[in-house]
Amino acid sequence: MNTPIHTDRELVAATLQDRHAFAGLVEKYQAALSRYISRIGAPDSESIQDILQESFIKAYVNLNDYDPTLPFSSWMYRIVHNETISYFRKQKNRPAPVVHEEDLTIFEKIADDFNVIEVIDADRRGQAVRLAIDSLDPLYKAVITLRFFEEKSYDEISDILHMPSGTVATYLSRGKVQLKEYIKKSNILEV
Amino acid sequence: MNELSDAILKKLQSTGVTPTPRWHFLLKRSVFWTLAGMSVMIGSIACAVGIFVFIDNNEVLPVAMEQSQIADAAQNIPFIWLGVLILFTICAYMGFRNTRTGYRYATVKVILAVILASVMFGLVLDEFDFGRRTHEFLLSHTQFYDSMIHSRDDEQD
Repeated sequence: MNTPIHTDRELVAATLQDRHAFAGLVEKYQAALSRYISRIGAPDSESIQDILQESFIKAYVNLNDYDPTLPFSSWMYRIVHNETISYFRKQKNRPAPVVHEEDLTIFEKIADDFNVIEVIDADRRGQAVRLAIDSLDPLYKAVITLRFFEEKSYDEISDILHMPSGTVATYLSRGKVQLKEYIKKSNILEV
Repeated sequence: MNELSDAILKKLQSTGVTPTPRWHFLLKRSVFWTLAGMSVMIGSIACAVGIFVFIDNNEVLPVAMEQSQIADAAQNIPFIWLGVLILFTICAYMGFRNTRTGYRYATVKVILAVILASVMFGLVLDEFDFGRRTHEFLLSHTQFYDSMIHSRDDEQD
């Protein structure tokens, strides 16, 4: 009886023997990566599918470059992140993030964590944070999205964005400052 | 198998793409490691010659006029070797940054480590008289180096 393949490392090894095993990796990460692509700005499901497909093909071609000592998810997120950025460059479009239902509670959480809005009511706090996140510099936005929405650790973000963990912390803190400034300047506070 | 994985597998089959061989990535990474290593070595040589020109060489030269020690020291700074050290420190950083986990280390830390390694190896090389020999070799074999050193001597006179 065949033992079922569970770990990413085993799936990668199996894919290198037989490409059909790659379906296991695609299915495992497809949902999380689709959400990430839409959160950083893919406007519609067609673009998400295109980016996902290109990313997985790129991952397959570069599979021998994957370092098994690092999480496969970080490696895959990095490919997807770069592919999304280059997709927007090619399309010359501005990212238009999609808000998922579960994101609303995260917006609330960020508002509480950052203690950014005290004046306005709870319903509008989420909306204020969402607008503020959309206005952030792309790198700060990526760090905040990975930290709060994808719930990645500093080390994972460091592996995804290829920057030291200290820089991740700095960008997170600068992103927070930008968020506060945006909210201060925006009309939302004039309630 | 779902729609996406099916589409991906079909595309992989129709385009005939296969994973790039491991040696390709090993070669790419070794190029960056070699760049980093060679840059540290050249930086060490620059340090060894720089130390010789700045410290050791002054001991054999007659002390010029009664000028201040600071001005004297400033005149003797081997700028050419300082420039070489800076250039190859940047090369070493670029090489290291592009290795597999090079991105994890802060720029300042990597640059300081490269400079420290270059200075330490440079001191070791200087102990073996490598600085003097390189300096003399360059003086007798390269017009550019010779003209630079003599123009500096002229300034000092």
